[in-house]
Amino acid sequence: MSGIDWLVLGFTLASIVGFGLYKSRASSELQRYLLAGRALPWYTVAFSIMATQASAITFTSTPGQAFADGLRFVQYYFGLPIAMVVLSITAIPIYRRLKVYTAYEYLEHRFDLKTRTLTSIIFLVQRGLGAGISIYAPSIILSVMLGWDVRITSAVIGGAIILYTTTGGVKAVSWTHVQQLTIVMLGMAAAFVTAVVLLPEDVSFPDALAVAGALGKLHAVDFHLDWDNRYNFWSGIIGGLFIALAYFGTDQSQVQRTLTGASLRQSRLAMMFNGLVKVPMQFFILLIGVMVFVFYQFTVPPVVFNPVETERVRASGYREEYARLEEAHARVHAAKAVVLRDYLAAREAEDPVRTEAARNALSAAERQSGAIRDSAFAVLRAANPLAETVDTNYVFLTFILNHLPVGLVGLLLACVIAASMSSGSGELSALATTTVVDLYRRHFRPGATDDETLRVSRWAMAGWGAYGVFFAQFADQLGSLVEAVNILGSLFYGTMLGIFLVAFFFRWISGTAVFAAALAGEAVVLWFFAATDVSWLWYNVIGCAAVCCVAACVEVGIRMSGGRKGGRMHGTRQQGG
Amino acid sequence: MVTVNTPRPTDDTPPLVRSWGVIYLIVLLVLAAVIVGLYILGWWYA
Repeated sequence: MSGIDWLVLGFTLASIVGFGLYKSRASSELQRYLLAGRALPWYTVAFSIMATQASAITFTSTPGQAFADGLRFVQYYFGLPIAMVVLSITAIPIYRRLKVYTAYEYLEHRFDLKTRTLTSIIFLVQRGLGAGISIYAPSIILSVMLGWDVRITSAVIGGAIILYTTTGGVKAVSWTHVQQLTIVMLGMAAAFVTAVVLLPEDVSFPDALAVAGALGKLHAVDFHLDWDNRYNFWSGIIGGLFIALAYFGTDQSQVQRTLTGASLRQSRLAMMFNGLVKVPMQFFILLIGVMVFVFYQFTVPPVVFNPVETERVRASGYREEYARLEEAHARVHAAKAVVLRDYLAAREAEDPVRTEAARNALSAAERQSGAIRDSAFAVLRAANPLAETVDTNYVFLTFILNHLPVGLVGLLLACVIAASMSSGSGELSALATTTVVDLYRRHFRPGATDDETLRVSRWAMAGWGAYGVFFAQFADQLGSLVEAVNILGSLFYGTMLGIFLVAFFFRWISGTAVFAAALAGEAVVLWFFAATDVSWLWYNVIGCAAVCCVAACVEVGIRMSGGRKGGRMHGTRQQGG
Repeated sequence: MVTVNTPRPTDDTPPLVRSWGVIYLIVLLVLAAVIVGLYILGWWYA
């Protein structure tokens, strides 16, 4: 990196941390510390919600996803706006009416203490591990960019997150989220403009779209119902709805963001804003990936985008075989560039026969190029059996480092760090809140003063941060991080969503039944994970359905055996339902 | 004379009453429009 990039990077990060600490200097009371005094305007809450979700993994791998697979990943988000509406009507008013710190407090109002504690622990287990991945993801990217050991970069990023989250609390998190998301979107916009500007002079933006369309990258919506096809309209609407309901309605890292709103109206407006903006925003990020794809149709890309694995194979006994593949790749690319020009010329001349012929030739060249990449990955595996053979996470990174103007590299690097800090700090803050509110103050020190609780919550944040950094040291064993983080969440989200669905909609079911059902539901999901090949996307639906069915059966059993008298007990606990 | 006091809308107003129903509808309509737009984009450049 150039000196200017270092300057931009340092200034951007310093201003983010400094501003967060300045805005949060009065966070001395517990409620102000954990829920920002429930006084934030809707736009701050909305940015905070979006920044918490947009981790470094999303930021770097989403354009790579579009590079490899086109726009169809956008369908994954179709259920999100519906979930925002459903949660605005159901969960958020209840949480706010009960003035809870955590979503799990509501479960004690509705069920009992043991259900609240169990759900809190499920959340802590899942999100604690997730925090480690959140810290590790930007660390590995930074390690590639700066040439530092990944253990050092994970300690640096983890330390920075712990510092400003513990000193400022959630208010620092929320205020810096506004800046971070702004920088992320500015950086992404700059990358988009750069990708378009760097296209050959005679290739316009509509031409670029035509090239992307001809190679199948703009096929965003697929209404064909196919169970084997992970991303289509139906899986996006149904599967996406379940995941978004669980994430935004039961995951404390998101619920806490929503509860910082000054009123129910502010919280709802924030959710509506997220519902309105999320799909277009993801489309834009994916479109950047498509433009990077088009850019690499006119500029020779590396055969494999992962620089670490490339260097490793070049230093191995397979370097000659790999060099031959690189030469073949360059030849195919040159031939493809000629066909591309022919396709654009035929399209401009409105010659359908020539256009179709050029399109077929283009597809054939693309398949050839793909076959060479497959061979290159096979060589990587031969050189190193543990080699990472998915390089989508490195596509955008390679583009940034090799083609962005001086200054923008530093800005984009700041974006990556800012995104990881925002999602990591949101997680730490939620973990600490759940630890002190649902466990410490509820089980160990019910009479703890706010000062004491505040002190403990700072230590809890630091503790969870240290745990995340520790876990990050071993995260290189997890393979694809995007998959790892989604599988991890899906192992627990179904159960959590099931518990909350029973709480909201099955008022005749008691705490004992749902407690047993949660344990059974979690066991079912873990069994599916360990013993079947069912895709993780279905774990959320399976866990949720298992909890609802088992809870209903257990409740009926309890009533038939005379264990309870007509649900009278929970009638007094339904104040939120 | 009997007067009827209409309560002012508050944060506790049921969500599907008053303007919230319209806001929810707008969010869902925008989603539908975006989906249609994305479909047309793919169809146009197919």
